Amino acid sequence: MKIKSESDLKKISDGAKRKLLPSEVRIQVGTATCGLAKRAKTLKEALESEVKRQKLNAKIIEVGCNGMCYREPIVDVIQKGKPKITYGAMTVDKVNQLVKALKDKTVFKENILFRTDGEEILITDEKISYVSDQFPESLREVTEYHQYPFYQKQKKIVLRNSGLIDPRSIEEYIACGGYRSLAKALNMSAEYIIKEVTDSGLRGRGGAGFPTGAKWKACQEAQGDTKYIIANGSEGDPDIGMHRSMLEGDPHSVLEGMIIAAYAVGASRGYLYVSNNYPLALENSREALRQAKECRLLGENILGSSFSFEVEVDEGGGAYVCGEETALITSLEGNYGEPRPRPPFPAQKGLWNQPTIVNNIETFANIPVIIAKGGNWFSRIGTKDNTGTKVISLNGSINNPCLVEVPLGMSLKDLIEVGGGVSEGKKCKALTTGGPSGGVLPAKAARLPLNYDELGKAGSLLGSGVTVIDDDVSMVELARYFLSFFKEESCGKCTTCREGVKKMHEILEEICQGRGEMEDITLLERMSQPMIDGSLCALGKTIPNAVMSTIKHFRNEYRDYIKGKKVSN
Amino acid sequence: MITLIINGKKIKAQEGKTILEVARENDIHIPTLCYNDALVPAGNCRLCTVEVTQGNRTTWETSCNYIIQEGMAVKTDSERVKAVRRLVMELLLARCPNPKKVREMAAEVGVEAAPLRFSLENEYCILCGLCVRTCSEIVQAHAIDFEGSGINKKVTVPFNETSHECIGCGGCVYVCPTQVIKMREVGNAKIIYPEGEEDLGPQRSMQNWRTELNLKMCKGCGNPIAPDKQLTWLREKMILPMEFFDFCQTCRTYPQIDEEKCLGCGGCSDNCPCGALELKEEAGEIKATCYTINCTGCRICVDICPREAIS
Repeated sequence: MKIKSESDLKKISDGAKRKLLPSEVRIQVGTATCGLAKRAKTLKEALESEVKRQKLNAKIIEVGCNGMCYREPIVDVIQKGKPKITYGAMTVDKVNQLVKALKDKTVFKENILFRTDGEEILITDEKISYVSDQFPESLREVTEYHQYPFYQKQKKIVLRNSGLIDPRSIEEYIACGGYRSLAKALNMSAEYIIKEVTDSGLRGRGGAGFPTGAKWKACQEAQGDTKYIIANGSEGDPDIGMHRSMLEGDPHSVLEGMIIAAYAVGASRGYLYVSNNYPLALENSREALRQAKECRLLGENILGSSFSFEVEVDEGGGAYVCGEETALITSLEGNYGEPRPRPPFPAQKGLWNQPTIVNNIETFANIPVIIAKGGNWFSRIGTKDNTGTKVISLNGSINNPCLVEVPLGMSLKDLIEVGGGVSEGKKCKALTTGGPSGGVLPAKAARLPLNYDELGKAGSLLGSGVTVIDDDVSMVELARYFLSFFKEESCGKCTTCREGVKKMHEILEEICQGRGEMEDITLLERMSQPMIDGSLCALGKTIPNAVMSTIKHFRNEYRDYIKGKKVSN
Repeated sequence: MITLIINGKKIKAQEGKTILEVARENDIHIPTLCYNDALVPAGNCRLCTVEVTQGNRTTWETSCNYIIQEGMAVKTDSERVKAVRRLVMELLLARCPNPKKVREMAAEVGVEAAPLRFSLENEYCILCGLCVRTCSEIVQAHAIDFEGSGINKKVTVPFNETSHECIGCGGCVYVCPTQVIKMREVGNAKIIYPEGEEDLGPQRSMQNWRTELNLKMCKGCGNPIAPDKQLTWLREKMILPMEFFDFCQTCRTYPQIDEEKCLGCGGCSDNCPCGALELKEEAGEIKATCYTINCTGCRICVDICPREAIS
């Protein structure tokens, strides 16, 4: 279908809403990678064959991750008149009872997590109400979504559609207000769009937290024959799957943000750079691109305007260093992913030396909401200089490893509570908030807020993963692990990083094997500042932090290894 | 012109220059390993790191590729800068303890030895990339490049096999600071195998690039000129006649201009690709004259002269 105007969009939206509120039964199975790991595919096939066998009029839709990775596989059931029911840890042996209950129009009571009475579409403020006047009394005692502990403190902006819609259906994305912001933006001036983004206070979600509005303004003002938009989806941290979940569950949200950015800065070509570690995310991204192109939401004369924009999905090799914007650009150009010195900054001279915006895919996914609700609305979420939400992969020694989205400013302690608290019987010893680059924070840092500046001041950074480390973990061996990670990921350009990480890792290995000396700590400390000053990019510059933070907060553990009280096994 | 401050001293310099270029213009010494003023600065060794303050921000940048800005304050010998230099040389000493250049540079920045704790490797290559950049920027043969990344990085030829592109010019040998790249000439190479042997003639061997090249011999004196491949490559690049390299520089002949026949028309000087021919006024007459130092013996002038005055 060709979408040539805003009214076309509305027509499709109205039609597609019937898919979300169908007359037949709609069964959603979470088949993002987290679900697939728990055999969601087998579950889906079992549902399909059972539905056929019992002759139930139902559609089975694959949806993305709803964040409850600890309860996969997730199954949502929407039956006319009844609230949406979400089941967790669903098993194949319960499928025939579930389908029978649906056939009899009763409620299958096992494995229920919560019910949802209605959805609020963030972009359009429209409400989809599942419930009619005959509310089934048997569901009265089931907790409703808004009171469900896991979701109570979350705020879904970036993940607004994940787990709700079929990520491979552009109509369902449109039904949830998709591409309305694009239509709105095309009627605004570039300056006004940039002003809204600036007023929103949105900061780059890749970890550096650079004001997005300022970056776009610099690119818009720069001179160049062609301007580029690059969406950085090359997540390389070893402990998170946030980019994977986003692109598996709702790739259009990123695409729409890219198109609006392109219009604002005057770009004509874009690249969605995704690590090839995420084949399903790549597949869903490519499908989203294909559908958008087919609907004329990409390509020439978008939505009937004079604006044209082409996007390609580019596969990265999964190198951590390619998350760094200049290394990403170098990789896109066909070279080894090696960073380049800045200045010049990509906004002025980036891809092929042209003005380029590189933003994290999470940053882009916020844009349609900012355009729809206004920069001011967004700036009231979170705290003064840290506005909006952050998507976080919560893992480690936590009861419910999950993917959440919370307003910035929430304390780490409260965040850990969203994940069900520290694992039963374990005590939290340390935290990481920025992967290996962020190093470790002591347990008392849990009172710190999710905040770019505060976490930076504390010696870490705000990444996309928070890992709870318990008493059983050796901080010395953790430091050795961080160094082995950096050893694998260093691009090798700078002497300080390449040779430095080799030597630091060797020293940690000696300490772990009981051959360490106190002088080794002094040596590691002495190497730190020159490695930071002498390395070009954030990878080399944060290697010392990975080690120093463990020494700073857990010096006693190093002493134990050195004095022979402990050896690695 | 831009005014910046280096080590407290106000300096005026041309816009667009790098900190290193300006430092050298003003006799301020900054050590380097991977820098060559004929090549695009790479910033690989990190030895030329300096402290740069702009406004209220201080950062540490490699001076070889950082463009000067108005009002910038640079320190080339602060404690933190010296610490970077020392660590770079300690690390290089641990990687390459034997090359003379590494030991000399370490001594220059005040490093006697790598810390005892650093295990010693036995590499000679410091991964400065001078060879790669010379081959691609100056010679433009693109025969060698970095392979692998991170701790496995090394310089080699594609697939570690004999190079199709190497012309044996020795540019890489010339720029390598640790002299790990070697060029060898063998007067009479031979292959020996169980059934007998085969004469390969004079060869130049670029051992690091697993490439052996046959040498072209001078038709005059019989001495080797250069690898055949190199001369063919040059001939094609500069569009020279087939017999151009048949004679070496010593045996090659140069244009003899018969002044009686010379019209002074300028046809030879206009078409000389090397600027070896010029028109000069002599005793009221304009005649062609040859600067043999520029002449490559291409004989374009011989063909072009309407009076056949050049032989």
